[in-house]
Amino acid sequence: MIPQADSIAMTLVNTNGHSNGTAEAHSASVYDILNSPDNPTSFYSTDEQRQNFKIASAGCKHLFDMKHQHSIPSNASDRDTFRQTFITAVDYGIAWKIAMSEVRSSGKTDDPVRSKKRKKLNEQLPVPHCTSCQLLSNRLHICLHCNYLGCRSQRHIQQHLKKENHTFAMDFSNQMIYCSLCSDYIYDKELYDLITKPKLLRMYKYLRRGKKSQPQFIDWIPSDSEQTLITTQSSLLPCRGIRGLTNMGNTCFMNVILQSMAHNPLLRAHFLSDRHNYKSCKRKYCMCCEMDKLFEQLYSGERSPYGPCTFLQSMWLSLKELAGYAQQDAHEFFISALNQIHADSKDHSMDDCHCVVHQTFAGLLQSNVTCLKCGNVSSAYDPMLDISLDLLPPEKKKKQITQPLPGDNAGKLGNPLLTSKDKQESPNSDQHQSFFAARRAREANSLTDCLDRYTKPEKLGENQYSCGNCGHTFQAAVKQLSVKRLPQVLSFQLKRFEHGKSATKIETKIKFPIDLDMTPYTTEYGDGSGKHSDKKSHRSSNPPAYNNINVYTLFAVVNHQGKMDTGHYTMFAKHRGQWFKFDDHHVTMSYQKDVLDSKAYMCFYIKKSLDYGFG
Amino acid sequence: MSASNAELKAAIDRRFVLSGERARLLEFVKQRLAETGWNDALYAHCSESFKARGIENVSMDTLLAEFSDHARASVNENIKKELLVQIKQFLDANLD
Ligand SMILES: [Zn+2]
Ligand SMILES: [Zn+2]
Ligand SMILES: [Zn+2]
Ligand SMILES: [Zn+2]
Ligand SMILES: [Zn+2]
Ligand SMILES: [Zn+2]
Repeated sequence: MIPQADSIAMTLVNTNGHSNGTAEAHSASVYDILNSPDNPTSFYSTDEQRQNFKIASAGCKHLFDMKHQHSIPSNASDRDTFRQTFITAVDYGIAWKIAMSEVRSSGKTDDPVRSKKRKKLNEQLPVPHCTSCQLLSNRLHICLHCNYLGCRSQRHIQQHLKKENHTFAMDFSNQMIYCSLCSDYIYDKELYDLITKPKLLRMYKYLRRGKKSQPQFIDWIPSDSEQTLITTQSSLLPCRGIRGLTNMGNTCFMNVILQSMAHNPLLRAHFLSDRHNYKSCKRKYCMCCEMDKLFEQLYSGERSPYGPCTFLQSMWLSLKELAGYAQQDAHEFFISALNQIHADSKDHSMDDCHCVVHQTFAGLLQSNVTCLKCGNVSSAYDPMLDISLDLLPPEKKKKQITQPLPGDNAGKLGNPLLTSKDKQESPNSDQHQSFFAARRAREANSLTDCLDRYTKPEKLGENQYSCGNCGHTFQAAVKQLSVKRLPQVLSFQLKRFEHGKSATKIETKIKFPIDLDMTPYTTEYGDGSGKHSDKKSHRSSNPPAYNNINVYTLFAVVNHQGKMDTGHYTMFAKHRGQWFKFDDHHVTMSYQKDVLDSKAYMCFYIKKSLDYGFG
Repeated sequence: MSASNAELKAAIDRRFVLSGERARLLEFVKQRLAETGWNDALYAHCSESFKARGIENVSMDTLLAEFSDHARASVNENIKKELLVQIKQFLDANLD
């Protein structure tokens, strides 16, 4: 049995600082508005859609029946009990999560205040365990009909559901609902949005207290008059946003970038919420207007491919150097488009710009130069919109890159940065040697390898650095890059094209992850640990934690096939949790595996901790 | 299993969870699995089966029944060894 709601509420009052009652009941939710019986029929295209919507927002037809027993009065109490039990179950699960995270964070520091708190929490909150086998660690589930707490691993919860003829249970650790009639976990959007999600957000906020402040957002709660406006002046539309783009003569380089922008959650939110309306903008050749038109077209419901000729034309006219665009490089186009959208934004400025481009992509790089004679560190800062990463030339591999520069004697001086790195890479035993060698070979061509190289200390040439501390004389020095401020959307270019005497393309496959933790590459991380060399050990000992604000998730990938000049661009983008492949006008469903197997030219990641209902 | 054995098991299980060791090892395993590409490979393996039979005919229960053996067998042996070492360390430290 799960404990009394009181004791859980007590814990939540203590940890959240305020009562964790059913706050979600006070204002009309989007579901109340959508399901209101007062809505005019014009709001729903068809009666069928009215019904479809309700079913679509329920996890399965069984849960739909459970939630919408309005017409049968005798079942109304069942429905309310189910809802209340679910709320209690979610509260208990979250309270336990918080308690366990207190244990973990206090475990290392052994701070007496914290361990006292841990004791208090553990005493207050009943320890969840399987009613049948007493164990704690076997995937606990709570029956949402009778509060039975049982494990999945030994099938105690399944046996209970079957025996008692109960249908729904909640996974204690991740608040997912299991339906025994479907034999499956189900995704009930309404229960998640109204109950689970607000509680999780409060938990994340609590767990991050005292840490770096989070981007703030305010929930929009429509007023009564706004509700009336919505339901009388608009109608519900099916999901949209997938539309191919016509190739207007070698314009695939543009099409892939436009799709990457169309599927960028922050740009999409900006333009779909009418923050720049082309009908009221007076600017000539305004790129913001072009973005607005693009979104209008992609979300118009029209299925035939769209030819973004006015976008290209406006780019040409507002940006002289693009005319007769010979290079046709997607990355160059991307940067030009960003700069132009920034310039055409109403609220753009020279520094600390708050335009949509800078709010989305702007980060700050820090470059530290350490004088090897006096140890003086001088820092410089560089704004960034994306990160361009060098690839190892094929076949030559690492050797050439780490070859010491002429006159380099950093090693002899015992530079701590370099020696500790060397130590890490030359472990003593043979077994370790081969382990690290294998690991290096496997990882030499991953995105995180490229980032390791990007942020590793680099020796400067003889006459490259004049140290102010050493009386402005040239000194041997080491330069190191780190990310001082991470952007909301992190875009990478993998430099596959070498514009040397003969233009060549590096075809090496670069492995890139779905989730990327940028913590090891931040300035803060480097400062904190003192050494910059243990990035790999950071990666294995501290995997991306759910409350780590530096974790990113992949949402778009741009690929280039064929030779440098004659090749073709395609891209993958994630839309409502599903991957799609965009090949100009041709759009197909795709799988994550196809995305990860592709040879990326550009990768787009968005911060996970931003809550924009992404994915 | 005798009564005292079951009691001992329950006590260790409790310590394992409440000390935070279970959560730590869980994250450790997740990370190592991701490093070896286990997730990606299993995802690909399952999605092939999805394509073949249609997404409507797939449930968590059937998925587990069909792929659990394969999933367990395809875990890198080193990960199993590393995990075993850590569990042994935990037991040594807690069985006195
Ligand atoms: Zn059990
Ligand atoms: Zn039950
Ligand atoms: Zn069901
Ligand atoms: Zn405009
Ligand atoms: Zn700007
Ligand atoms: Zn100096």
